[in-house]
Amino acid sequence: MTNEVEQKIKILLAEDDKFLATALGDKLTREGFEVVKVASGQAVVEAIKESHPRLVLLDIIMPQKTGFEVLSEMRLAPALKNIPVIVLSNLGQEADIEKAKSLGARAYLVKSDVDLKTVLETIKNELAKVG
Amino acid sequence: MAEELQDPVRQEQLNAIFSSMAEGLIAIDNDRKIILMNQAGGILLRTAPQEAIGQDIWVVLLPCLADGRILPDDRLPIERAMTERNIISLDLADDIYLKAKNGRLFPVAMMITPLLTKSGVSGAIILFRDITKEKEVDQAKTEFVSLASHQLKTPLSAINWYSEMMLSEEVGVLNEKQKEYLRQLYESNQRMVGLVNSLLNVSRIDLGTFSIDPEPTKFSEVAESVLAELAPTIKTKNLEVTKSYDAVLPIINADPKLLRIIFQNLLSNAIKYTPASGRIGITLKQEEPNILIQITDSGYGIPASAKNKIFTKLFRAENIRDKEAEGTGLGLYIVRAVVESSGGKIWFDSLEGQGTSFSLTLPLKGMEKRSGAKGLT
Repeated sequence: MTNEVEQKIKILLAEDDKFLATALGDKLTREGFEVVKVASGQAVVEAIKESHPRLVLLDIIMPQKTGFEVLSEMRLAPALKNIPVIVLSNLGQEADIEKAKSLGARAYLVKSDVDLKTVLETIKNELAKVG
Repeated sequence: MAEELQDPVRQEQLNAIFSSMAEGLIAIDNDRKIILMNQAGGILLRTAPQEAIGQDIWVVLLPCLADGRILPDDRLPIERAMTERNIISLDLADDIYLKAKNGRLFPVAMMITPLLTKSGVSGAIILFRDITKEKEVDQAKTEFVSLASHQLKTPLSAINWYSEMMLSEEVGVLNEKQKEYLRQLYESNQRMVGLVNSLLNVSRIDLGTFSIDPEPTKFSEVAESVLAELAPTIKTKNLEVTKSYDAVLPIINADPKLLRIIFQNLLSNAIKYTPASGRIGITLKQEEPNILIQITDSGYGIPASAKNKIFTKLFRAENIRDKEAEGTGLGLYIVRAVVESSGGKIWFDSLEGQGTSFSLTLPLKGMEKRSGAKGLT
């Protein structure tokens, strides 16, 4: 058992809505991931530095700092720029998607249009890419 | 003139009324020459009333679009009022502007009445006012709808995800009734997501902030994928689908998302408003310089009284309101806006009780890119 716990893949979940954070957190935990939750944009970058997640699920509209700002900061930090980020937001405009991708996001999902199954598949895909 | 001289008090009164009015007032004769303009009209158009008299109406009063382009001929409301002998009323929804002499463009509400004398139409009276304030309020409303719709998406996503997890029974087994109720919950929520997306689309159309991103697109592929999505309902209602696509259709530079919105709305309407065991048809045909898309059905049809309003926002015809509770009155409004902003045309034929045929054309040369704005979802 101890071995299994150690092998859990860590995902950082930046989501300020507690209902969504619980849904995602529960789902990912049941799927065997270790989940670190952050509820404000300000705390995201610090939390990534501390917890070294394998992947980040990032909301865009968050208190204090937007997901776009988080992406920009991550890109400037050599230790963080290679951590894959999946944006999970209800902003679904072409311009938002392009902006996030140009800032380094690997995938962009619109919350109200995707089911959790798709979120999970996207996570697995991205993790498979980084190996 | 004779009467004027006979009754200078009366004339004085009339002058005072005209010049004290808050609305602009212009009267023209049959030659479209101005015979009277009041002070308010002069202030709005930055033209002295005495200067305007005798001038051609089109020199002084030019109905424009929001970008300052002159209104296309067939829509010149003054001509319509005079030829149709009808009172033409233009308001906020018509989105018409006037250009003052100093170049200032302002949104306007207008009422045009044919000037009727014993011998027939002898001109027209144009009453107009600046509706900048109303426009601002309308803009604020649209922005509010946009913001509110966006906010609504967060709790809707939560309902989606929690019901999805329960339905997949990953936290415990459900009995059949529980599953059925949860499925209802899930589907109702999906409808709500669809509605919010429509509201967002409408607010983007109204704000003029939706983008067009053309790419080489196979129209038949988009049509087929929408049909596949709608297949369960088609099957449940036992509808016969007839497809007629030209054997060779060119690939057109069009925004696939917008095209999807067009097919999705027209096909789902055809399905929704056709009784079980009816027929629906879809045609794709090259008709230089356009591609023609036709969606037909053997459904309830559009009553004659509703034909003028069918593309109006939030409008739903009487005959289907009792039959189909589901429907927002937003679909055709969105479709028309998409088609027209893509350089196309849309029209329909319908007989109540027999069916409806919607036709639209889009230019083969494709849609023009419009960026820096927001896409429709």
